[in-house]
Amino acid sequence: MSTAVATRAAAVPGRRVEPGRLLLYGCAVLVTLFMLTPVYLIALAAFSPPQAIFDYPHPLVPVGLSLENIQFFLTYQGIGPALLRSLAVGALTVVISLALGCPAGYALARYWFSGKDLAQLMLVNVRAIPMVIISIPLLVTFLEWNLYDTVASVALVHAAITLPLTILISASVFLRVPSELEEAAMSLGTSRVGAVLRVVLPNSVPGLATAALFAFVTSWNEVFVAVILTLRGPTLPAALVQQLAASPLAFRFAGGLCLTIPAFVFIFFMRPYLFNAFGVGGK
Amino acid sequence: MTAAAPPHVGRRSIRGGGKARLRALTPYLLMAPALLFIAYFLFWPALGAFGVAFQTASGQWTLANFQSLVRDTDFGLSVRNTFLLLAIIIPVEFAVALGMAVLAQSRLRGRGFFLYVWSFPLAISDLAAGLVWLSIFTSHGYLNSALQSLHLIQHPIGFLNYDNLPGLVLAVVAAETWRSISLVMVVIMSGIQAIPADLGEAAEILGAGAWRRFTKVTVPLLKPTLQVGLMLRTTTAFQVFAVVLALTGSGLPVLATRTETWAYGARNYQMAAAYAVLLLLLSSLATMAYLTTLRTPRGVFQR
Amino acid sequence: MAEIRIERITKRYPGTLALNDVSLTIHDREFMVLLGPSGCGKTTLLRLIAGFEQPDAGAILLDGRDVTDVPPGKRGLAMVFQSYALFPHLKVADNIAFGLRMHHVSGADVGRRVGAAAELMQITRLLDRYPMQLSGGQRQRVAVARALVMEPAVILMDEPLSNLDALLRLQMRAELKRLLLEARTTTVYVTHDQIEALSMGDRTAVMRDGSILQVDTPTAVYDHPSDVFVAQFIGTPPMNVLTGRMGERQVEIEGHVVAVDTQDGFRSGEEVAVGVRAERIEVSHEAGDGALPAEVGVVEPLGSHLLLTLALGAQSLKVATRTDFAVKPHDQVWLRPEQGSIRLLGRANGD
Repeated sequence: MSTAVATRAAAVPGRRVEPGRLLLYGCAVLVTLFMLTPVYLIALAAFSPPQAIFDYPHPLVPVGLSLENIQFFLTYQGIGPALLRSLAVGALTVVISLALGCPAGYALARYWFSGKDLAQLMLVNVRAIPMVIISIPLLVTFLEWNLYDTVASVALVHAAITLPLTILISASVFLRVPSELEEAAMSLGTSRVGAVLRVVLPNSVPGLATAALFAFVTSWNEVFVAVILTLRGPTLPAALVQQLAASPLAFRFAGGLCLTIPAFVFIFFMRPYLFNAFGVGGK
Repeated sequence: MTAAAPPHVGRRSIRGGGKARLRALTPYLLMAPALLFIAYFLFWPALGAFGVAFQTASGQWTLANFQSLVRDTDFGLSVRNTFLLLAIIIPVEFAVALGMAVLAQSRLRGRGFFLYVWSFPLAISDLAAGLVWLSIFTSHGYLNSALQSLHLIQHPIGFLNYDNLPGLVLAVVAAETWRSISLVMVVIMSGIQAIPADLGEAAEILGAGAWRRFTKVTVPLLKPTLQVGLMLRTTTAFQVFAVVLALTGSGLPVLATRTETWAYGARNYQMAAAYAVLLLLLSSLATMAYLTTLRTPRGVFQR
Repeated sequence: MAEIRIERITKRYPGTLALNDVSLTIHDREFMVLLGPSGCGKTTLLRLIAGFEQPDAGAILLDGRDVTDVPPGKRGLAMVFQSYALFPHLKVADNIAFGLRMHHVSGADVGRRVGAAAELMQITRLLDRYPMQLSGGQRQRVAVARALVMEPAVILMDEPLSNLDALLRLQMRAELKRLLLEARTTTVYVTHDQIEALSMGDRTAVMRDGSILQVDTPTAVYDHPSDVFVAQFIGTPPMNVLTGRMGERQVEIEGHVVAVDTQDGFRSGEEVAVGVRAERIEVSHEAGDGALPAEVGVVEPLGSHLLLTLALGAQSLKVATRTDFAVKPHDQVWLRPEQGSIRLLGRANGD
């Protein structure tokens, strides 16, 4: 593994720069506190008894544990269905994204063809298109198609948003399966399709699962398109945005916590692939 | 990327078999569905937005939408706020994220844990971030509670009052930075990891201390990474939406929230599209600015 | 001018002992080659001298001064990296000037010294290019110039020729040797290529598994290897190693007796490993006094000589002879080791 240039200073063994290392640890702890404190506080707010919202100043340590706020949020009118819809949109997004993305990723990994560079350039630059700008024309389109305010419409757009990443991840996953394996399978009598199904896919499951997870998380978190494309059938974030102005603080805090906690699980499984997905260093 | 042996299209077609031609077409057939899908749902509507913005509701070409855009009550405010947030968030984020990336790269004990905690906001939505920080910044929130308990203030500060611009900006900057600094860190880390370790050692043995190794070697070599990161992050920062909405309601109008208000609240898609086109224009300008100012001299990374 | 003393250095990495109680003295202006297979600890030793790694035990002294805790930039060393480690964002001139600027050499001096170093390495016309625009050989020259311009007391080289193609490597080998001789700096040179080690170094330290097995001049390492490993690591072909039974000033190999100069501390009756170079065995078609009978296995004409693989009883050995020696497989030939060419390398089957 390569190590950073600047970090050599930090990598210098202990006895040379003890105070420097202490400073580094101090900084690391500071950043960690900045990251975790808000999570602690939102959990504190969400699990406090409802009337504690009105206590002031709030105690910064838990005084009592109550599930009332969470319960209130989850049973609030429309939240349950919105949660189910979010899951449905996410699942549909994953299915479309993988179904279209894996063949494209395979093409990038295994073939040389003219226009390949252009295709890759396009995939990378899609990230620069603002969601804000595409949502209005799509809204018009879906109105025409009678798909406005449906799970399908949101999932279609989410699939398009996640496709570039799915393609790039699956391409890197397929690249890691040596083409010799595939050729060996073919030399033993199976077709290329058979080789892909029997040799490449079984060896790619963990990587593709990560691509699926990325697609799901993107869909789960996407707010703007979901808000614009739905009205009576919003996804969970869209429902929250709809209710924001009218809802009590306890509702918003419980909602905030419910949207935050899954991130810890997601990132735990996505960690090995973070650099693939968000990195720009390697080609 | 390494690829399998390139199919020699020309030679194959001389032999002429239909099967060979199909094989030459295979990669295109594999790519086509995905690319067409992306084109239809992303590129096409991006173009379509221009159509909507430059047409009346009945389909006539016009500039009227932009004239009403400029007259929109919150137009000036939303432009100013968008730029204000951008001007604070981007430098702060990149400076801190650079530090975090360097920290994460140094062989600290517990590096895995630090990296995990520092990257979990990658999976948090802007809406969630807004709500999380709402619990801190409301007038009876945790920040005021802490300040009051320490007797630093007598009465709660109305951070999120509609007339408290510094308070509103502070809240949005904190929440948005908290949410998106992980992304910037990961981007920078991937760039740092691509720098060979022996460059740092070469500089070290030539007498460069830690700070000069950072400024003379790491940062210059990170320039392409920073360029891409800045373009990516600035584009998304122009679209800052749910954080603002969750924290300030309509107290701090920005371009994206105005777009949503016109589309969702007023059902005036022409005005919404005009705002969206303006957004695209501004972020394209920013991208071009980064491309020209952060250009790497020819020959540095390729022959 | 500097003498390097490495005193009882031990370096552990998780799971491996990279250097095991290693001591070595490199004299002022000496060209010392660290030679060994990959994983033997030679690069670790170089990095310890450079200061990139810290020993778990032991000390490193430069001219008698303990520099174990001195950071790399303050040791007065220069280094040429295997990958050259040229800064891609700096032009050749700025790459060469980098170290001078770090040491706050004045602008005019920087220009003069960079110019001189570039001229020495014949890269003056490349000064305005970026490293990526150079060929491998040119990059190598820049890397050496960047080290030499510092006028270092010690220059460290980590397999500097390994990324060049064969012909260029041959050229650079001679040129580097000349340059370093003229620069008169102490040089520590790491390589796994025994020919480089033999051709360049004043002395060679042969390493294996974290230890130094032998430190000697190229001739001595070649002619008098300290053990079986050194004997077989150095030379093309490697030294023949046969098993024999020690007698009094003689060894019995496959039932034939060969005289040796010394007893080397081995007792009569002990099984010993006997070494002899391929080119120090005479081969002929006639039997004679003290000649050993062998059967020809493989005949390989190598242009300058003929390499024979022979069976001596159950053991195999290689012999180099003149190209006009007429021989074919399964021929019976007679071997006569030259006077003083037999080495006793140790007990058989034990290193």
